[in-house]
Amino acid sequence: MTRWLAMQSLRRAPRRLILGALGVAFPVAMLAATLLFLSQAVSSMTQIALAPVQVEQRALATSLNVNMTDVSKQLATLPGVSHVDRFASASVFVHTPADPGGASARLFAVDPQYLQDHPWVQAVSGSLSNGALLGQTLRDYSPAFGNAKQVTITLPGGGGSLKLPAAGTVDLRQALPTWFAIPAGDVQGDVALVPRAIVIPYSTFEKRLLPAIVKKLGPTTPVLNPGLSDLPPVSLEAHISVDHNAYPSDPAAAAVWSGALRHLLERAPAPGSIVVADNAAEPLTEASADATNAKILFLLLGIPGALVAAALGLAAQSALAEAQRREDSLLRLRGATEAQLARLAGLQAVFAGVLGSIIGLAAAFVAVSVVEGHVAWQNVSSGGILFAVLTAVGAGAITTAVRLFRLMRSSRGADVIAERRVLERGWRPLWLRAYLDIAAIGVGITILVINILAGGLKLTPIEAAQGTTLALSFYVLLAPIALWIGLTLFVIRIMLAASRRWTRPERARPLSSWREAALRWLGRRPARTGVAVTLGILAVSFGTQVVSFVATYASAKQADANAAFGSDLRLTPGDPLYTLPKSLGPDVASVTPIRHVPARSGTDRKTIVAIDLATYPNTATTQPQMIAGQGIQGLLSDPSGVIIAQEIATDFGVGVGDNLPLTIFPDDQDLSRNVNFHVVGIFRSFPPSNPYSEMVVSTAGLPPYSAPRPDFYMARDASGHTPDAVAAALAANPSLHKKFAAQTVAGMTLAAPRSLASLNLDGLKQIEAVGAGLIAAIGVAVLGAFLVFERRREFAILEAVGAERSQVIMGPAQEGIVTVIGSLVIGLPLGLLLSLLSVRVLGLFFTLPPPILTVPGGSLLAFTVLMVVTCGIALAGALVGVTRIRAATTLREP
Amino acid sequence: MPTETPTPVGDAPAAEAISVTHTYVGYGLKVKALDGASLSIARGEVVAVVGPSGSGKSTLLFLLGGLDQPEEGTVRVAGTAWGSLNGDERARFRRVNCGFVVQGTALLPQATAAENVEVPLLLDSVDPAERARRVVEALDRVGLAGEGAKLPDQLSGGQQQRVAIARALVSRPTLVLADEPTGNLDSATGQAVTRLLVEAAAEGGAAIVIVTHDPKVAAHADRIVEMHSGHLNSAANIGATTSSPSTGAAR
Repeated sequence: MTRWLAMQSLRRAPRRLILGALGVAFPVAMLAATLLFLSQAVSSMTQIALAPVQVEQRALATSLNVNMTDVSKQLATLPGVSHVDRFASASVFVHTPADPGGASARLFAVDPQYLQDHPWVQAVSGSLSNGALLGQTLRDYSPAFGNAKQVTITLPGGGGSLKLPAAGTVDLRQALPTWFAIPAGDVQGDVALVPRAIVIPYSTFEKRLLPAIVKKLGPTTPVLNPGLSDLPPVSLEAHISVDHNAYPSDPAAAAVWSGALRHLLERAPAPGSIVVADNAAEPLTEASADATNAKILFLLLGIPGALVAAALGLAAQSALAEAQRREDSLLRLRGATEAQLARLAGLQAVFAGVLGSIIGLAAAFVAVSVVEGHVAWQNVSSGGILFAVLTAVGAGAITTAVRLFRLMRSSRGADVIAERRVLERGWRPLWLRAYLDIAAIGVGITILVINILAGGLKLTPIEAAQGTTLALSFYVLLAPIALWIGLTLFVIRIMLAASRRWTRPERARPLSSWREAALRWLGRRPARTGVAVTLGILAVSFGTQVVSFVATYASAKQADANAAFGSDLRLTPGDPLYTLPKSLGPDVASVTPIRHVPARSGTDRKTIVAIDLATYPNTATTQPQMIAGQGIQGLLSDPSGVIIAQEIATDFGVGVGDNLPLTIFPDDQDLSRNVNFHVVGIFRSFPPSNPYSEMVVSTAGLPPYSAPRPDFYMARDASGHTPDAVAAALAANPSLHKKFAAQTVAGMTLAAPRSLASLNLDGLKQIEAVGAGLIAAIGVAVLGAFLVFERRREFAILEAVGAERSQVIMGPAQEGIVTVIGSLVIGLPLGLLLSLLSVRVLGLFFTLPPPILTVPGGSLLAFTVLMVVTCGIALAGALVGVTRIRAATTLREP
Repeated sequence: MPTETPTPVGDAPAAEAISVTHTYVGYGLKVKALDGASLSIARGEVVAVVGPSGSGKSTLLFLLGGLDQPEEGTVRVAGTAWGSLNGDERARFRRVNCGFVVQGTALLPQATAAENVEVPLLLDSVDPAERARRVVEALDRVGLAGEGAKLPDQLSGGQQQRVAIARALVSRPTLVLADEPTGNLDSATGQAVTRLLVEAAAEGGAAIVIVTHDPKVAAHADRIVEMHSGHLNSAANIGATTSSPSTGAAR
């Protein structure tokens, strides 16, 4: 019977069902879309974190008698392992027939296949199969090496003479993070910048040099020394490449999986024969922290949308309350019991909830697919999808439950007329009586004050740039949400108080026009408009906040990228021996070389950036951000000056004016020198900050013979030229063709990008902004539905006393217009204010201090137009509904 | 704002319904409410329309007030046929020539008593001073001189109906149409309200059509018209039944 009644009521009142389902669909859609974006973003973080990792796992032999050929074969069979390459390194002397004295160098031994598997090692000329490949810096060491056709390799202190043809030249600049990293145990050690290197086939090394090394050092010599601060005399390794698709998509799970794989690798060969360094662990752990922050960021942007959508659902329900009461009263008259009515209401609510959840999930999947340009479930784990679906459906169920509770409570109301009076006049909702607005504002301010007093909300860019985990307490993010709700309700409180005062019946002034009368009457019963304006303000301020925050995030990201890049163009010579010509033509205004100089202070290895003071200031497009002392000016006035990063100042306990003794070229027996620098300044950021700048000196301040060849050049375009156009022009210049790579900030993938900075929030912004606009419009539609459903008798009375059509719709039109204008006038500035606050709260994400706020005029205009148009359509629909009310029918209703 | 209001013809009856046929459609029902009914109401005459529920009384009332249009036949008020006017013209004509007192909640809940009375004048853009004077006069006439600032829910049921009567008469109409004006009131209050309606209308020279189930209310009329299944009972239609004629025509 109840089921039959439920079906009948659904059939007879489909609009009620649709409105009820929409009330559930909106929060479900908003939450599901947010969570799908979040899953996609988090999943992509694992791949972004792994991308710069050259060798995911590095197996180090613990002694010279370990057969790495057998070990490699064993490791290659393990699940997830893509391929394993043998690798060895040793400190040697290299001689040529023309230079019997030779030079110290680091020998690397790999199979020719290694160069195929790892393109970051490039043979500039020749082939490893035919003999030794000389590193470019070894070729540059002397003409004897530059023109060498044959080399002889010996061990330090004598022994093991290996003659090999000099088959070509190899570029090892990209191999520094792996080949030159000190094998320090289960974690990767510092990079030791050995200036000269030679690469030979592993088989040659194994057969002809390793026996001599073993003979010299002894077969059981431990070659691994945990905590090693220098390169060992010899290392035997297996470089294990892991299939990136084998990692779990969540970075935290991926880090755990990687650690488990490391243990598995260590146990595969004879126990104790190898130690495995997990090179993927650190970036994955970092990405895991970033993922946590991304979740916070997405929830900050997404939760308010779901909240306001849920509020919309409840408002929609209240618009239907009167119709529900009437139906329940009728059924009571016909003998229905309270239990039957409760079951009926439950069935109707469940039906609306299920339908709304299906519509909401479908809308979320469609919206995310459209915005992303691919199906929403692509790149998302099944767990991620399940979580999004279940959470969103859970939100829908909660909305349905609250709706059902209110519906049943209102249908049991003893005095419907009295309730209606309260609703219509002297509206004092629970939040108003409980001072929820004041409480929310208080909570928001308290959170912020506590956080500021605790030292929060401060930028820690250097730690962030170096991969330190960003700590952002979740509760801090409650501040903007609390203030968003509190300020909105507070504004409504003020509006209600003002309207109550302005429209007091006992002090009513003579009316001047019908328009004024309609406005006064609106002020006397602001409940419905109040609800609609509240929804509208929440929606508009939320949309504005999202749009402005994302624009500011994009600006800050661009500023970070610009600071990391430092100039319009970066010119990287294809051959490190290549010297850039003095002039690169009219398109390029200036060029400055950037050199990286290895240094050591105690056991700490650091990198010094050496700049050319004559050309740097005119070429850099981003200014250094100084914390103390002087920048370029300090280096100009003190040739021995050094400006240091904030972290260096902290770690070394030095400040401006202090001496900073450093050993430069610590791994080069020829060039190694102790130099005493004077700290002249401390910086927050010094462009180019990618690779990270720890210390900056003038090239002129280095010992005269020690300035290395530039690692790359920064270049500035001539005015009126764009970087892309200049890069294209340089690439097309026949005299410069293929001599160097010209990169722009847009085209360059910066080394080791923070996965958080790579988040693309545009899709989420679009969906949230459209959702906010629609929520405001549905709010107006709910208001319209209420007007048509509940005030039909008033409109009929007006028609009976002679109101024209335009006069009948004057009141509802004013209510709609007040809703739209009120939502915009209050919601826009409130949204900007909250966005400003959110930027401060999330400022930790950026290396440079983010801009105060980037107001995207175009996006905000589009958002406003969308909101006004959709609200206009909803209002027009409501007004048409009002004009269709037939007085002759309505006035017969009891 | 309206600028032109159709002018009533001077010596025409207050209202006429000539061979009116109308089908009522509502709540999923389709009922022939009027079937060739004719009725003429003289200026100043008080006519009570009685009959069982569903006999077409309210339909006749709304047709006389131009809130509905007959399928067949003609309905005129003060010589002007509703069918000759378009939507807004009908509205303008109605607010000047017809006053409605409907059953149940008849007032705008958000407007004070004075504002409710003022509505027809506001809609007609009557000069503010004139408006104020006529509102005071109308409220005074119904005995609510000091209650103008009260909202409807601060008034008793009888007072609310008095305000509705004041609103119906404030524009000095030719015809007042009352649909069960005492339906929600106790007997004594209903009598008082009916008496007030008839007397106040008589002062302004307005004809009244009262739809009622209550014989005591009908007893105030100059003439009682009985309706049955969409037909007017001609016997009752002919003569006045009241023992004490109250209006001009009857007198």
